Amino acid sequence: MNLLDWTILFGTLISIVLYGTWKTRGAKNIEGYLKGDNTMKWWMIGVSIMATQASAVTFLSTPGQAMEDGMRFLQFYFGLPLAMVIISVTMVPIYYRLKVYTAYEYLETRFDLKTRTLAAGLFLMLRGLSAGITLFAPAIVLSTILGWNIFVTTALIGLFVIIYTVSGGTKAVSLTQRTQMTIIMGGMILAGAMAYRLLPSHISFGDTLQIAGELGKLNIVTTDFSLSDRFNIWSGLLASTFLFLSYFGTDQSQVSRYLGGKSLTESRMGLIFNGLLKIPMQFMILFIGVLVFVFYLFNQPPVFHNQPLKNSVAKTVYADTLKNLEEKYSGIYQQKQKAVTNLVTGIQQDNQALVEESKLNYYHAKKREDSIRTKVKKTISAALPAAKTQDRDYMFLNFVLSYLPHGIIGLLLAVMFSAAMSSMASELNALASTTTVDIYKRSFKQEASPLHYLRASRFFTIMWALIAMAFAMLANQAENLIQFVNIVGSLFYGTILGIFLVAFYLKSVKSNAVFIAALVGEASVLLCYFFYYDEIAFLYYNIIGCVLVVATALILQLFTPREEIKKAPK
Amino acid sequence: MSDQKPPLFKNWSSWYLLVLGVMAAQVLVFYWITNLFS
Repeated sequence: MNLLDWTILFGTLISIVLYGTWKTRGAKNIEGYLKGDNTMKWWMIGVSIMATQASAVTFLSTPGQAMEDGMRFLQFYFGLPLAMVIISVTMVPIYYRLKVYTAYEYLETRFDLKTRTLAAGLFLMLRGLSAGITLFAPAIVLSTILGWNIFVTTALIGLFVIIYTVSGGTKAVSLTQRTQMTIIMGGMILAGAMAYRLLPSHISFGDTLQIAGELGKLNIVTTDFSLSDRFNIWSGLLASTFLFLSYFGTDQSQVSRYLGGKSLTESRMGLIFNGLLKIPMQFMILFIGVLVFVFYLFNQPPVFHNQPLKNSVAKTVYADTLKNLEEKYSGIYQQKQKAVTNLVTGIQQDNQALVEESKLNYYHAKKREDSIRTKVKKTISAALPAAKTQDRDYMFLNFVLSYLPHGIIGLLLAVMFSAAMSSMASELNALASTTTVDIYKRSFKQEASPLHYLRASRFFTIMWALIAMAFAMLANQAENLIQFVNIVGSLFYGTILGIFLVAFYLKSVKSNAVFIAALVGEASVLLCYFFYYDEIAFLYYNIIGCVLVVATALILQLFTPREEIKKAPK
Repeated sequence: MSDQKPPLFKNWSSWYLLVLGVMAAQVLVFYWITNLFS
């Protein structure tokens, strides 16, 4: 990092904060603060939805995911377009008709206060945790580069977001997200182009694809079904659809994005925009990871991608052990590179026998390389017992810092921070609106002036930002950031979706049945997580939770004495 | 309100078919790429 990088990084971030704060200053009522006075057009909604979902975790973790596991993670998004269509057809018109601020308001109209409060509570728990992780991801970046304590960096980023989110509310969130998405997409495309440009000149684009494919990184679609396998076409089309239905249809951080639309048409088009562009966007991010993987076949990768942590170990009594392991690692890399050179020759000469032989040699060297990496991680753990030895989230960042030119480094760091700020701002805005509308205004202070609720919303935004900062410290224990985010989501989304599906489609089911069913569903999902984590992939929690809520509610309703039928909204 | 006309197409079903069609096409292309380079 040099002066140019710092200027670009902080220039970008401070400009975004000032622009968002200045352009949306003077919010005077809760309508404008939480719904942005319903002025958003479809493309703004679409961009806002995408920016909310794509946090810094997406850009830090996903390329590393592709480098290690290939592109099969893309299948996770296959259910998204289907979910967009279902939400556009069913949920959005109901929210518009009822003119709600939050999705959970509908549940009181349909059931009762306790069901609304339960769903809002589950959302607050889930989103509060996720906001912490959203904040933690860029905090690692800054602490890695500056060698600052993670607590300091977390507080600094949190403060940036608080300034414009508290000041301008949902309008500031949407406005800044446009700028942020432009920076994010531009920066990532540039990173991909640079990764390809850094490959040896005799490697064509076709060769790059062949090499990646032969080494198992273009495994985009995998058709084998297994309950314990997280990413295959079946989990993508089935389990992910449930996850995305719940996320986009019932999670206030997304619902608030399209409820700010100018009309129902604009909101629907925003969702369609997301349904069309999300998979290509994720493909691009994963493909950048594949390009970096190919780059590291021709350039020796570090034995451990979190360089500052490795440097800390080098100052302990384990320094010699680490040095020996690094030397062995370099030796193995030479063997691996020979195998790669032969692989390229085999591909370019269309010599299948040579390709197969090279792949065997490559995997043999890779196995030894992995063994060294495991020993390095054990050494780090022995030297610094509290250190996190998972380095996947550092892979892309380390590449950026080590190989990209100055200026672009600053820009890409601005990408990470912008992504973190955009999704965190949406999350804080949604947490504040749910706390204000569904909890505070509904259960604690029903009669107050609009200005009072506006002040309350601002207070809750700050409160949730502080809670997110506290959770950010816990995220340090997570194995892999992007998976941790999705696991946390999957713990609650199934149950929330189940409640909403019963509300929308099972008019005979009443409040007590669905309330008990939700408790049963959530307890079952938590049971799966704590006792069957290895047997059942987390994406299936969404189906389990949802199906259990719907089925239990139906059964309970059968055995419940008829209560007075509350008229459901048409 | 749910009858509001969409842009470009005559009805919303066309938009939804487009989204699902594009998704199906993407899955097929990705499946083809997977097999081509594996």
